[in-house]
Amino acid sequence: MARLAIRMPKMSMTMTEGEVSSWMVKVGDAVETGDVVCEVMTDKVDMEVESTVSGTLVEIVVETGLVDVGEPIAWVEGEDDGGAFGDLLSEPDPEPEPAVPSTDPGDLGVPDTGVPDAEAPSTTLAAETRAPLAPPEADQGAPAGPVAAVPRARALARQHGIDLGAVTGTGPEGLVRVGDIEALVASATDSPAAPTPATPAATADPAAPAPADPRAPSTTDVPSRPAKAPQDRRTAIRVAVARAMAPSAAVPQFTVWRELRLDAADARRGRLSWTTVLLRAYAASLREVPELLSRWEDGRPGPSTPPSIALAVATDRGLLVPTFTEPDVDTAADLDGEIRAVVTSAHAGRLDPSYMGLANASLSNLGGMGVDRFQALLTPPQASVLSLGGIAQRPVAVPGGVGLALTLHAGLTVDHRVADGAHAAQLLERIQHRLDGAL
Amino acid sequence: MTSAPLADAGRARHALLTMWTIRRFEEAVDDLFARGLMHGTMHLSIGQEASATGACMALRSDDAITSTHRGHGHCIGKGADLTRMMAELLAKETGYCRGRGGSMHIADVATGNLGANGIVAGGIPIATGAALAYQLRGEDRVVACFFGDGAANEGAFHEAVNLAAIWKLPVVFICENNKYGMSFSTEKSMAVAHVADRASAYGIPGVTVDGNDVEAVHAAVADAVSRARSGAGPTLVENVTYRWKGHSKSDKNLYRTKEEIAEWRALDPIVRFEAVVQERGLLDEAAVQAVRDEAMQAMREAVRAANAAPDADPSDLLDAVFAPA
Amino acid sequence: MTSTTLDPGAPTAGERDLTYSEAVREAIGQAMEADDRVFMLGEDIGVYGGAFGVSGDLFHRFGGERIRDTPISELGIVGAAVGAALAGMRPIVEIQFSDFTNQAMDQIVNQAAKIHYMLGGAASVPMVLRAPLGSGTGAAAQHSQSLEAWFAHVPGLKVVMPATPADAKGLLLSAIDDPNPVIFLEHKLLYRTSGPVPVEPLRVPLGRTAVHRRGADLTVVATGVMVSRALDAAAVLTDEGVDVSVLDPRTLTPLDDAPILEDVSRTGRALLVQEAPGHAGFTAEIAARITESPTLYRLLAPVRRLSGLDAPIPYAPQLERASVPQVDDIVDAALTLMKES
Repeated sequence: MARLAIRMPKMSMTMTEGEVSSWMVKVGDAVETGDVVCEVMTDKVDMEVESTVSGTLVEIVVETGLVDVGEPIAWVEGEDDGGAFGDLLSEPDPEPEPAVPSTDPGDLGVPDTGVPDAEAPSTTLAAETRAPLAPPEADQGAPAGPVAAVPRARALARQHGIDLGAVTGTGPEGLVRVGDIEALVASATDSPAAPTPATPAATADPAAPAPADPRAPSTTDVPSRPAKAPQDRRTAIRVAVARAMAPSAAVPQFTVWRELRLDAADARRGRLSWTTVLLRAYAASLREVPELLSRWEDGRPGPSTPPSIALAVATDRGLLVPTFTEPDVDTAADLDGEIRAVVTSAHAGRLDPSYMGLANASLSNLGGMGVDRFQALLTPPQASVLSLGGIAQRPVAVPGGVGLALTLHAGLTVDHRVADGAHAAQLLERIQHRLDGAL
Repeated sequence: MTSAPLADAGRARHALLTMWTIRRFEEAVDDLFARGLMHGTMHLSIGQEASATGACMALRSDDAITSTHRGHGHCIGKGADLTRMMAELLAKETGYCRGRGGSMHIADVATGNLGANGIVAGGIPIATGAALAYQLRGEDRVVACFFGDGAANEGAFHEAVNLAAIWKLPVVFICENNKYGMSFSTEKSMAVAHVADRASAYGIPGVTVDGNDVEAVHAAVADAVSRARSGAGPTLVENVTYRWKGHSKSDKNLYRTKEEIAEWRALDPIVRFEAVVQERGLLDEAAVQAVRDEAMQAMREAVRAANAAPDADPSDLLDAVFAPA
Repeated sequence: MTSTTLDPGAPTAGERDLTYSEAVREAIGQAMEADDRVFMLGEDIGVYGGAFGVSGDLFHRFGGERIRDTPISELGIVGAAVGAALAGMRPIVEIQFSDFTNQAMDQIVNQAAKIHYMLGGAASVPMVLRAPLGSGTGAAAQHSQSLEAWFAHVPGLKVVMPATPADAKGLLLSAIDDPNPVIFLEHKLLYRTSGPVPVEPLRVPLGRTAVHRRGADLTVVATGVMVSRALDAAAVLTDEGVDVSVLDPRTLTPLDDAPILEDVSRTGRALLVQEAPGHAGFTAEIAARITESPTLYRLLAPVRRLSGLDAPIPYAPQLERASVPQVDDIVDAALTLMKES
């Protein structure tokens, strides 16, 4: 005979303890396997507990009250049939079970996939779905594509007109972080060389094309900037010019000069304005020097895009810069009418949105204001800007002495990152060639 | 290995040992669960041992079975290893499914067990497809498809039995009618008296037998198997039986009376078979006791060995999602 | 400004033009010739030749045992394929419309996808489920869905969406070889499109993203019928001065995301195009992979998805067209994306 336990049974997947509420048997009673011995309240309902053993009840451990699952609630003297399998789990460990052999698939004609074993290559899936994705270009030296920047840093750079390619990122593998942009913005504001918000370059060059990128003026203020009084329109334009032109100081740029001869063109231009003639010549010539149709963006020259030229128009309300997309395509007469209409509406303070596209070059003409020649500043990310001085009869060398010719001094300012002096010279040469030929 | 349980002492001993092994396995599971030592849930077939045993004894070793959520008996009947079964339930690396499957998904391809199934009727179309594979390859193998009375009301049952019937596939559909689909009785779930009555709708034979009589189960399934093997197509065999325990470990038995359970316990298939083999003089009392002892000893060894095995390892959980090419 | 068109052009040696459905049929035929374990089952695939004519003459070539007509029992026949695969065959199931996989979801999701894993790797289910998907035929809401994301969400299923005849053949051969259940989704509008297809049974491996063209400005990732629409849009965009890449993952599971991340890192812009409704759709997975990786730091604009409406597919042709992305929609989305940066 042996002392056999009746234990608090686990009667649902969630049950961890039960409360004995009443006993149906008493010490000294005979019990059989399956006899109801007591009632237990669980987390769900009242349950009857059946004896798992047979014999004579010799002790009730818990008359009423909470008992953990698996703990004895009563003891029975009886024959041990070995059915207390749970006891086996707390025995000292026997020899460990050998590893499972592979099943024999041949018997059923089932393909031998086997039980995956330790040698099976098993990392592919884990790598595919779990491992952090490595940057595809991480191991390829200088990365192609946009400069790596966290999204907020990119937005901030755009807001302040900062070229990400010019920023040294302090993150892993040169990643530009928000702090990198903030530091640049702070140093630009604090610099003694730039005591006023509007940069000297912008204020000293009233002819510099204003923002050709419509996003710049439309960008909302830096969120951290304190609230301020509404700006008048003039102030708003100065702020917009400042925002667009300050980054120009970070662009390595140079200017080449040429005195363009206009007699041949003048003979043929009829009623066309000089602006029309020169805008078309500039656009058509740019197509022959594709380097100058590229914009420097995110640390690399972007793809060449069709000529799209911002025309600086000084108005009473400030500088406006309508962009003419491919002005060399339609007839000169059409363009002439178009320019007149756009300039007229610009003076009225209106600009059709279709003239607010992204430019890759600018044309600025101060000739009508008595200027002989001037150096224009690039509007990033444009690649070039053509400045035009006054048109006049000027002494020129002619065979055998000095003569007069109708000329203007043109200055072509170029972003050195996308093109060299030779490209600039070539462009001016092409312009002269066009002026000498069909307009 | 396909002769009847009462053919000779050896066969009688095999049948009795199989039934006791199933009983002991279920009791071990019950005990381990009740003591909070086993995870999850499981569905016990105590009281139904004659169905699994008689049916599997009518199969060749290269025949296949599909099983159900109440499938421990089918696994054991088809020859599965007790230690690997128990290891699976104890969440061990050496379990049949390396701890990925548990009670409801034990399969043993080596012994022709294509798998238990956690979805009611999920295995019926699969059994049909395995039989189609055998037919296409010209093999004379048969699939025995176990399912419960509840599965007979699923669409999968009707679709799969119809496919097997029109293609005369070598499959035997074995319905273990234990009277309840969870709590819903067959009296309420069917308008026919027997699941086997439905066979006529598919143009195949249907037979209802006492599922607690291992000899009767074997006879019916053996007929069906030879019919299937001969190319005559499927048969629907209904073994009427009873599960002593609740549907699962959350069942309070609120839908049936103590009296009904007691009536069926009196029809214990193991006790009945022990009496028959002694009446027929195939085994004496000592031999019967030796079988009981052997089953208990084997089960205790299986629990010990399974418990000693390493726990299932989570480090390579993604490895077995796809079979390697 | 230049973009390389990697899309197959004129047939080369060893190729000739086939329609998409001919390419699928040729793959099945070649697989069946090479391997006795391969057979096909489905509704009306025999003498009828298949609801979309894909099985065609296969019944006459291989007979009714291996090109097996079935009753209308999607659950039953998918389950039969699972069982046959478990027992060593290589079944190909044709479901007439991918919408009808709903009838068979238990066998697809609870059985086929899980068996290998649930059994601890002891067995596998090498089957292919082919089904036409997508809108454009006026068949309305129950015959026009794109349910690929459902399948891609289930571990254990491979999901293939070929966009060209050559991919249809090469990917189907790989799917038949694969020891796992493969959901092979064929767009109905592609069946009659043609292109060069190798004569030989050449495999296109599962899990290789196709790069149809490379551009400098924007990466379009498209699946199924949207691949050809994206290529048409790319031609229009070139005239607009926008140079786009067009990538097709081809298999949603396994997903070869490296070429996508690489290309988006290069262009800085991603436009993800699918026919299926956008909400919780497959391209959301691609968007997530972009934003979970350092590719995020290269983005010049937010990732954009262009998807079908979050609505059932309607009947009327103008409504149906308006429900899923067309070429013009892709062009507009690309131009809008370009303006954002």
